[in-house]
Amino acid sequence: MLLAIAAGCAAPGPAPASAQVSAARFCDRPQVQDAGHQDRILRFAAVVRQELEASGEEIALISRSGVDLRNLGIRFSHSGVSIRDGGEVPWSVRQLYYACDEGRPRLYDQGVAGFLFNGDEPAIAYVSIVLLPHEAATQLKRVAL
Amino acid sequence: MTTAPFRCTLIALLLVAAGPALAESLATSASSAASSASSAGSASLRGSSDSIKGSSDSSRDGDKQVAEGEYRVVAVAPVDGRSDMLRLTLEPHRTARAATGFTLDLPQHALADRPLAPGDIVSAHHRPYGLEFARGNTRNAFFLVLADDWHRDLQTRVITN
Repeated sequence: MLLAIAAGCAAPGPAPASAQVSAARFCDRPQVQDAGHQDRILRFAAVVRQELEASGEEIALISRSGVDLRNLGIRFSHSGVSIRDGGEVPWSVRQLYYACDEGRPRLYDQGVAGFLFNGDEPAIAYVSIVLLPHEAATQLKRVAL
Repeated sequence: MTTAPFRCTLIALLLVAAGPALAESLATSASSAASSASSAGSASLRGSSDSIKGSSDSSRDGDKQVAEGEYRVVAVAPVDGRSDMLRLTLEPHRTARAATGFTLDLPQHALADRPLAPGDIVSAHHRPYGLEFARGNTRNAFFLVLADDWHRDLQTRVITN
């Protein structure tokens, strides 16, 4: 079981106790999705894939809503680095997840659909794609791969 | 000094709130964490290569072979050796183009407490990811068949140990 708690490609280490307590709260949340909801998420993923493809870039920062953080004034709860032809999928998302079973964070790759699939809030979803200047993109890709 | 600006795209998806009528397929997972691994194993999702088989001797099976439209359920039977799986045998009822029948294997839980029976109508819709199957009477989706590349999109791969 996984739970995304942080952005980017920071090296995983032992989670602070406070982070573990926060993560445990989210790990206990039930995840209910019917086929109609899954259909909408997958069609949304197709749009995001198209946007990434149309960018002509090789790498992007991608964020999504998921956990309701509106009381903190935060829309996006999950972020990662999206890489073209990343592994076995057209665009992968490399991200730091909290492995609930293990009680520690890990780095994972998913496709765009996997990245979008586990939102907490079924009514509305947001995705942000940030395309970097060439030099920054090149540096990020070198680090990410 | 000049700096190249970054570009940002914001995409929003407004999901119609799922009411009780939509909650007919099984939950993705009985476990609690937001797990993509569990999504890939959802009762209402499946890859095309192990879900759809043509009833004719056509050379290719899978989601691309199924025409959009309505199909009549002509048989519902357990899958041999898989007590948790059902096989629906479907024949064309009203389809957009000439279509042949096929079988659809799905977990029993995908139908929840509203089983399908011979004579019922289901509809098949082409989607970017594969196929959506919905009940003919309510239009509510009950099962999604994913093309293989989309199925891989839902998998999770560990980068570090």
